[in-house]
Amino acid sequence: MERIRNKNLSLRAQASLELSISLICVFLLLFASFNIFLWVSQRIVHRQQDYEGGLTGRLVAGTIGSFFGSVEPNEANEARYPKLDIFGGNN
Amino acid sequence: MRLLRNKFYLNHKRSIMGQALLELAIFGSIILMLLGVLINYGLRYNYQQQAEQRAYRRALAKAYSLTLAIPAVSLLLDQPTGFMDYIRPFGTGSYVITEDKHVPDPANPWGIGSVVPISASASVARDEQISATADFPYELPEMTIDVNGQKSSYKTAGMRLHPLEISEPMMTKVYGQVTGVTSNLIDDFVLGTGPMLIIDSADGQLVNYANAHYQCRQLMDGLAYELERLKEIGPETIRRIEDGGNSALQEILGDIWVPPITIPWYCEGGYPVNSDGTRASTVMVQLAGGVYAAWGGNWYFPKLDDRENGIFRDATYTAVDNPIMGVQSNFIQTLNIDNKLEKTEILDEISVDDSIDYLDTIERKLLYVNRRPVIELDLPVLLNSWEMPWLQIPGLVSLGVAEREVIIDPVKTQIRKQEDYHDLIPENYHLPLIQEGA
Repeated sequence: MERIRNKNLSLRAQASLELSISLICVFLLLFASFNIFLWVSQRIVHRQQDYEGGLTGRLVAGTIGSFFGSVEPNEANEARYPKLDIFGGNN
Repeated sequence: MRLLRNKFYLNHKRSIMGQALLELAIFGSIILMLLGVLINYGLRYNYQQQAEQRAYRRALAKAYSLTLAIPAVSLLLDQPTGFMDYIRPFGTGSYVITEDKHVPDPANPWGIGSVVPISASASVARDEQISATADFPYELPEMTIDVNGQKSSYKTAGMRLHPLEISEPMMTKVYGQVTGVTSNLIDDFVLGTGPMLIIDSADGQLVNYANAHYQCRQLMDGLAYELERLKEIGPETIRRIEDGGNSALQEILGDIWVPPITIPWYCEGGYPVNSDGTRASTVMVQLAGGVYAAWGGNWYFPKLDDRENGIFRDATYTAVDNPIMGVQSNFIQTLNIDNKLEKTEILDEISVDDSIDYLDTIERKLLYVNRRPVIELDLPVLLNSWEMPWLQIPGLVSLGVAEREVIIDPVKTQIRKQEDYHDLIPENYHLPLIQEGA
């Protein structure tokens, strides 16, 4: 009888434990998804900003450097963009 | 009774044991799939934007890049108008870029994912003399095709010398502009006794099917040609024809289609066809240079329309039967995945070696026409040597093209991913025993 009672108690606790572990995992996955989405969006925005103006703007490709045909057109330096850091602040 | 109730209670509890984990397994896989979709779309949009911007930058750079004028020409020709006339920007740039990018997927083993092709194109015209036409073959417009860094440029128009044609207005109508080459090429052109220089937008290395077909019909079908000309007539002109009668019509239409017109190579062997594709039994006129008819309907040109022997024989036909040259949209993608798992147990040590070798190969076709320039000595053309000084080579009368061959370049790109994993469980590590009721 004692053994059966103890088994019941451990079964109740097991369901709660499993629930908390699974919820933690789900929230971690969702958090990672949000951060990946933010990272992807930020890269698109940064690249568009670089394309529209400044030294890496698209019009710079049609300047004196291109005139002699040997210079590769300027492209944005994507190493400057925010890196993917799921559990850190990538803002 | 109590024992039975407890047994029932135990079985019920056992059935919900692991329910949370089961739900996690189901929902976790759904969330992993969503994560994979998010990564896939996110990376694809990034790569697409990158390719579009790269294509535009390179097209603009090409439009601004130098053409190298032949310096000797400026010395031989009289009164060059300025240094910059001979060394000036190309004026136009067309760039087509295709890149194969690897996109990881968390739902795959190892997160390997797949390879997706990303394509973009851009076309830029930037020229202070935007209405000027090419004077030399190197100034003809071209398209640069870039497949994973392998770049090549192809001309999209060709230059041909034709003997003096009777109907110069007709050639101008069909080709857009013809140029007499009797005087200084850099200055104004006057059609004299020499040949005509034609820039044919359907005679480059990349032939446009619709354009070539249209031009062939205009040159070989008198009725089609006249119908096209009549389209340009407005209400005022119609009033003049109604008032003036046949003489006014003659005056307005100008030169009527007068064969023989030298037909280009891609129109050779053409004949009129009925709507069901059978050869039409219409009167055909065989004259020097080709056959002509007044048909007004469809034509069949073997060099363009023959799917087995024509120049588009290896092209991808779209839904509207309009084949294109350049990189074909059909491709063969081969995926080889070599996964090796080695597990070794020695005494109490377990070691696991897992490796994957992922190789994705995409084979595409690049279709273009190669012009092999040959010197022809039998063209009925009279050239004064002082008028065309760059042709002052003994024995040379003119340049022509003896043969055109269709070239199918296979373009192969490969992406390889290799991963490996090694784990060693040491001998003093014991797996815990799961004891029920402990």
